[in-house]
Amino acid sequence: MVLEILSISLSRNKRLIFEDFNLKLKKSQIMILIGDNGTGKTSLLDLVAGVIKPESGSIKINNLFLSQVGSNKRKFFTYLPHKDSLKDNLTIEENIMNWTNISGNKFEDQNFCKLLKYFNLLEIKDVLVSNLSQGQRKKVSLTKLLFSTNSLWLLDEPFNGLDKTSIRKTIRLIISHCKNGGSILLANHINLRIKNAKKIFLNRLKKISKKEKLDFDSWEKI
Amino acid sequence: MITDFLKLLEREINLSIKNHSVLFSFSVFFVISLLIFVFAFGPNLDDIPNLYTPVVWVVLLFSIMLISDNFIHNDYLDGSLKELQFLGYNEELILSCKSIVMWGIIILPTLFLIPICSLFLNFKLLDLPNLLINILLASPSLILIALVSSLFSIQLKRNRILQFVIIFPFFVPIIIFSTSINNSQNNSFLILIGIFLVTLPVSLTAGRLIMKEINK
Repeated sequence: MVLEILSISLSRNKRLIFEDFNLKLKKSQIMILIGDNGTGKTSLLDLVAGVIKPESGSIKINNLFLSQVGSNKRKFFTYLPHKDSLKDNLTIEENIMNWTNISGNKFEDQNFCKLLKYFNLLEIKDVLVSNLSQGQRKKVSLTKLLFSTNSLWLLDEPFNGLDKTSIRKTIRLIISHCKNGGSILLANHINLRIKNAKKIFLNRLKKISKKEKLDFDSWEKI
Repeated sequence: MITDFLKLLEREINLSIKNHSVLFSFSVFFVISLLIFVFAFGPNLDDIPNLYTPVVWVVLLFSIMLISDNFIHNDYLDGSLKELQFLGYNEELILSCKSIVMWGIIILPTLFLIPICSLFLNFKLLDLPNLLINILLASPSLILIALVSSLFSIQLKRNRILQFVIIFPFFVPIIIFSTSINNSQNNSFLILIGIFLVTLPVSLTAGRLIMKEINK
């Protein structure tokens, strides 16, 4: 199992978001968390990334508890949060280089331009990020995935601000990653069609009675 | 650990080099604030040299507090502070690297600006080395406290005045001992080193706790 979320509970702003929540993500699997704003999509990704801690329960990545992973987290997953973490006063190229350096992803120089071409960023690689549109910023952020060597990707609203072509490219990227043995946990507020992806509707999940939760054994059943 | 430290340090240096506005705004704020004091003191030149040291410290303190937001708040706003955390970088390491780079960006230019500014205020050049050594010794503590204060302002979200009220007492001992350079018999240098040795673990621990709280 690539990722296991075991009976976690979490409250935010005095509101219970997850209670006895379970999730299992296998190799080559895409799981999409769908829900309205405030249903806990980002919180769940933050929990997996270890940014916040659950009140109860545990999380395992590659059969290791998150506490055992410790400072090696960047070797286990690549997380693209909602905020793009791009520096306005750096160019696209500098931002990507900066990210590869701190995330420990290495690449060959000849591949750099090839990878930037995927989202049509090669021609504008020397442009400051402050001069980019929201969609272009998102593309820079998604380009990080092309440089990532991790098998588990955590993506928070990856399609926000993208045009149709870029959405298609992102979906293609996601599918090809899974075909190569990668796993993806993706949060999105729109129900997009992605081949072979399993979906979890967080809005509906909230309505499931506690009794049903206790009887729960698979997402398919829900 | 050392590799992580070097990576973070390289990142902070790269970002600071590209962000010229930090150094520019700091230098301009520092010089203009000192110049305002020159005009505010009036034509009586006798009192000015005695007031130069406190004035420099007050201006330096406010400059550091002003600039510390660039190092912490901007990283928080664009999500890179959170990014560093989920990449597995130790919070203490993040704060240490930021303070080292901030020290280099702010204090080293200050050492050049202070002798120039001392000419405006008729300050005795013989007292300059003492003042500069005091700044070198006290500034790491000031920077660490200012960075924690900046983190604190993110955590508080609403009331930034409260941040100053809570953090202000921590600046007081540093200012007291660093302004006492005229008395050659005192051990202010050693005291400042002592204050730094206390400030370092306390502010790194406080910084780690606040950074963890920010994401909640």
